[in-house]
Amino acid sequence: MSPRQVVVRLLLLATIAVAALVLSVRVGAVSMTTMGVLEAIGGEGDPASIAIVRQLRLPRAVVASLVGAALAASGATFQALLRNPLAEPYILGVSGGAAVGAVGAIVLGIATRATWIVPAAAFVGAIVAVLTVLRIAASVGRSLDTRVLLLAGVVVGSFFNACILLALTLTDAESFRSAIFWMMGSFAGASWTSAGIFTAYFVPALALLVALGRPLNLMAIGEETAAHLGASVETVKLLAYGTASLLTAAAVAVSGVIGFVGLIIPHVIRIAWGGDYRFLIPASALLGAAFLVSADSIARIAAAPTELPVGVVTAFVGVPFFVWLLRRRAV
Amino acid sequence: MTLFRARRSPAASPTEAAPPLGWSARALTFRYGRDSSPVVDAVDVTVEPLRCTALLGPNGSGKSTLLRLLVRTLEAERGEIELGGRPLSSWSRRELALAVGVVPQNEEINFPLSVRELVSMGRYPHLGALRPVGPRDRAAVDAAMQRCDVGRFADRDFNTLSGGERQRARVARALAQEPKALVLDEPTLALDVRHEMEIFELVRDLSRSGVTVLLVTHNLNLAARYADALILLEEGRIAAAGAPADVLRRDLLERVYDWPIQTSRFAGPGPDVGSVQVTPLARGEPLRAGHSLNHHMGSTDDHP
Amino acid sequence: MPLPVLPVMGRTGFLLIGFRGPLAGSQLPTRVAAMLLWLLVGCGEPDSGSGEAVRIVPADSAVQAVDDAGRLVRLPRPARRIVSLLPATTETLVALGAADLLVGRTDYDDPSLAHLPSVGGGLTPSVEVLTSLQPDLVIAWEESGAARVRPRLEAVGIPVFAVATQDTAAVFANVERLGALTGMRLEADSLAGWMRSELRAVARSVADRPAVDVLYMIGVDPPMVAGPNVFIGEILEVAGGRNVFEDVAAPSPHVSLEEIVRRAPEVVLIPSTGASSASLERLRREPGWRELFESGDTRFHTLPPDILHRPGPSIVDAARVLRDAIHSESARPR
Repeated sequence: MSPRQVVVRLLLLATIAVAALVLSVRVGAVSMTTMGVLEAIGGEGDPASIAIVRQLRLPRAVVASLVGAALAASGATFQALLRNPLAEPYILGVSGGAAVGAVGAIVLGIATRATWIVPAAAFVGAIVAVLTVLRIAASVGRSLDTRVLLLAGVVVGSFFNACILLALTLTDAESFRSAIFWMMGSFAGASWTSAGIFTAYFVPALALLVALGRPLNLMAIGEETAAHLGASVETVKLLAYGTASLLTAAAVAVSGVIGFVGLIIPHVIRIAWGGDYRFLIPASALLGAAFLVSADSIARIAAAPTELPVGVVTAFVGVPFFVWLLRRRAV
Repeated sequence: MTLFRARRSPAASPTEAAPPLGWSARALTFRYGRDSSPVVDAVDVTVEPLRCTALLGPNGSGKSTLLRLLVRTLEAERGEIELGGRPLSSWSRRELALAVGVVPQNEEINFPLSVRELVSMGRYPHLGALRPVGPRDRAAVDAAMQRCDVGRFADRDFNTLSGGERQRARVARALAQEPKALVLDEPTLALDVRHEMEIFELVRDLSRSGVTVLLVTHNLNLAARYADALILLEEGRIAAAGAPADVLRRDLLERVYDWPIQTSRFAGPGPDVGSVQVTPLARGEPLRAGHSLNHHMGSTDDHP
Repeated sequence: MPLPVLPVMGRTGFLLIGFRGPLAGSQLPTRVAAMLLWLLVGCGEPDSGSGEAVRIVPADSAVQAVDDAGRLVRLPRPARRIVSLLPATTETLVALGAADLLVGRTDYDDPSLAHLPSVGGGLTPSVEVLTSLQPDLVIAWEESGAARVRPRLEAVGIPVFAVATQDTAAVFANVERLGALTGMRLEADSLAGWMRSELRAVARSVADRPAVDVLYMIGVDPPMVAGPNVFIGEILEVAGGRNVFEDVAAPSPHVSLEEIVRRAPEVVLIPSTGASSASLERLRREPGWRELFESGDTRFHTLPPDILHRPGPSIVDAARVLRDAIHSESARPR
C-alpha cells in the first residue's frame, strides 16, 4: 500500500466515522428535525431539546465512537500478539475481571454512592484480571508464552465468571437485575465527564499502538522471527499487552461488556485492505468507531422508547454483514 | 531500546564496508529444563567467515539448538561465543539483525500477507518502527525477491504458495536484510530438485560474494558438494568437523547414523567433481531389536 | 438498596412506623395485642376526615423530602409535572388525586394512564423521552446498579426522587413524602389514615381466629419466598397469617424445597399471571411439591400478582385478597 493509498483510505474511514457520529446525534427516541438538532447544538430552541442534544446525545455519540475505536484497535493488537485470528479484547480475562468489579460493587450495595463507583470498580477488576493472567504466564516461563497466556486467560476468565455467578446467586432480585443490565453493555450513562476521562486514556494508548505497527507485523509472524529481525520482543509485548489491556479495561468500565466489535472489525479491514498493522490499527479504530456508534443509534431507535442492549445489535447487524463479506471475498 | 531509534545507519551497504563475519564458540552447553541431559554438550565450533558451513547430524543431535545458540535465540548455560571477533553478548539486538539473516525452518502465519510484505519485513533492522520506507529499501526487497525467484509472486498471498515457494520467500526476506551472515535451518526440506539445487547454488554464490553461510541440512551429498566445511554432530557433541572429505568417512557416518552406507566420489561434470558422496545401503533384512550393525558390514569397499 | 443480611434470629414484628425491634414471646395473644397496639399507636395524626381535598399550598413555597438514597430533594415549588417510574408510586399519586400532575408513564403502568406518553421500562427508561417531557420531578427506583437514570437526569436539571420501598413502613413514608413534594399533605394524611383503617379492619376480621402458617412464594423456580421484612410478609400477618419464614432477615431469600417441606405451611400462596391452574398443575408434578400436595395438610392458592406486588395503596386490597386466601375454609387441598 503506497502512502497515498494509506492516506486516502484513512480519510475515507474518518469521513465514515464522522458521518456515523453526526447521524447518531440526529436520531433518537425523541424525534427532532435536523434544523432542530443544529439549533440545539448552537444553544437555541427549547431547553429540553438543547438538553437532549447537548447533554444526552452528543456525549453518548462521542463515547460510543471512542469505545468502538478502542475495542477494535485492541482487538487487532491481541490478534497480532497471540497470532490468533480468534483473539479479541476480552481474551485475557478482562471482561470477567471488569464484571466481577462492577457486579461486586452492585451486590455490595456501594454502587449508588457515586456515579464513578461502578466504572472504577470495573476498571480495577479488569486490571486485576490481566495482571493475574500475566503473573500466571510469567511464573511458568521467563517470557510471556502465547499458549500459556491464552490458557491462563481462559481459565482466569472462567474463574471470574464463576465468582459473578456466585455473587448473583446470593444477592437479591434487584441487584441481580442491575448487574445483568450492566453486563449487557450500554451507553445510556455516557456523560461529558466519562467522555473526557476516556479520551485521556484513549489518545496516548492509540498513538502508542499505531507506533507499534511494524513490530506488531513481525510479532504476528512469530516471536523468534521478530527477534531475528531485531525487534525488542519483550518490550513490544509488554507495551502492547499493557496498552491494549488498559484500553479494553477503560472501555469496559465505561460501557460494560460489548462483544463482537474487537473481533470482527480488524478482520473486515484485513479482508478489504490487507493486514499491515501500521494501517490496520488506525483503520480498525476508525471503522470500529463508526460501527459502534451506528449500532448504538439502532439500539436507541429500533424499539423506542425501550433501548436494546448494544451488544445484541452489534451481533445481529455485524454477523450477517461479515458472512456476506467472507463469501464475496471467497468468490 | 532499539525500537524507535531515528538515527541513520551508515549509507554504505554493510556487506561492503565491514569485515566479514564468522563464529567461534567454546565449550557450549545447553539443556532444556533443569534436570534433563544436555542437548548441546561442551561443543567447540568454528564457522569461518566467507565460507559456507553445513551442520549435519541425525535427528535430535542438537543441530537446531546449536544454531539457535549461535544466533542468540537461546542462551548457553556454559561456554562462550564470539561473532566477528566480539562476544556475542556484546552485540545489540539491532546490530545482530543487521548482520545476521536467519531463515527458520517453519513459521505459522495465520493472517493474510503478501510475499512483498513478508520480504519487506527484512528491512526492519534498518528501518526500526518509525522510519519511512525509502528507495533503497524497495531496491533491496526487489533484488532479494529476484534472487530467490519469487518476484512473480510479489503481490500474492503468502499462504497460497507451495512449501518450496514459501521457503524461497523466507530466504528472500533474510536477503533483504543485506546481512553479512546467513543462517538457514533446513532450507530445502520441502523443495523439489530444481529448487533445492537453486538454494544450494544461491548459498554458494553468497558465500563467494561476501556473506558467511551456515546451514543445517539433511542432504549429505549436496552439503559435500556445496559447503566448504562440515560439522557433524552426534548426541550434542562434535563427532567431526572440517573439510567434507574428512568428515564424511564411512565408519564415522555409520556409527553416527546407525545405518550401513557406502561412500564414493562425485564423477562430475561440474565444478564439484571429486566431492565425497554418501549412498545408504539396503539392509537386506528388517531390523530386529538389539541387532548389531556389524552383521551387515560384509565386504563393501570404499571407492577411491 | 438491598437490606444487609444479618444473622438475626427471633421474631420481628412492628411496633411503630419505621422502628423495628424484637418482640418477645411467641404466644398468639401477645402478638395480636402488639399488632393492635401498632395499628393504634401508629396512627400518627388524626384523620383529617375524608372529603374535600383542599390544595391551599401557596404557589411559591418550596417543598422538600429526603429520598431513599439519603438525599434531600428540594423543589422550589410543589411538583406539577411528574413522571413516576414505579407503578406503586404512580398508584399512590393517583390515589392522592394527583393523576393530572402526571405527564408520562412507563410501559407497566395501569391502562387508565395510556393517554400519557410512555418512557419505556421503569428500570431502563429512555432518558431522552423523559427529558423531552420536561418534568419537574421524576420518581425513580434507587438502583443499586448502573444508577444511570438519576445522574443523566440531574445533568439536564431534572430532580430525581429515589425510592426503594421494601416494607410497609416505607409505603406509608412514601405517601407522606409524595404528599410533601406535591404540596398535598392533607390528602396524604387522609390517604394514609384510610389505608391504616382499612388494614385494621382486615386484621380485626380475623383476630378471633388462630394464625395460619403461610408461605408466600415470590418466585417458584428457584424457590424465593417473602421474608418478614418485606411488605408482603408484613401484610401476611395483618391478614391473619404466620409467615413460616419469619425468622429469616433477608427480604426475599432463596430457600430450598426441603426447608419448605420441613416448615410445613398450611397455606402456600403463589402469585401467578395467566393460566394459574396450568402452573399449579406443573408444580404438582415436581418432586417435593408433589408430597406437599398429596399430604393433604397444605392448601395452594394462586393469586394475581398485580395487586400484591405494588407497595402502594394496593396493600389494602392485597390484605383482603391474602386474608381470603389464607382463611378460605371452603378450599380443599388441590
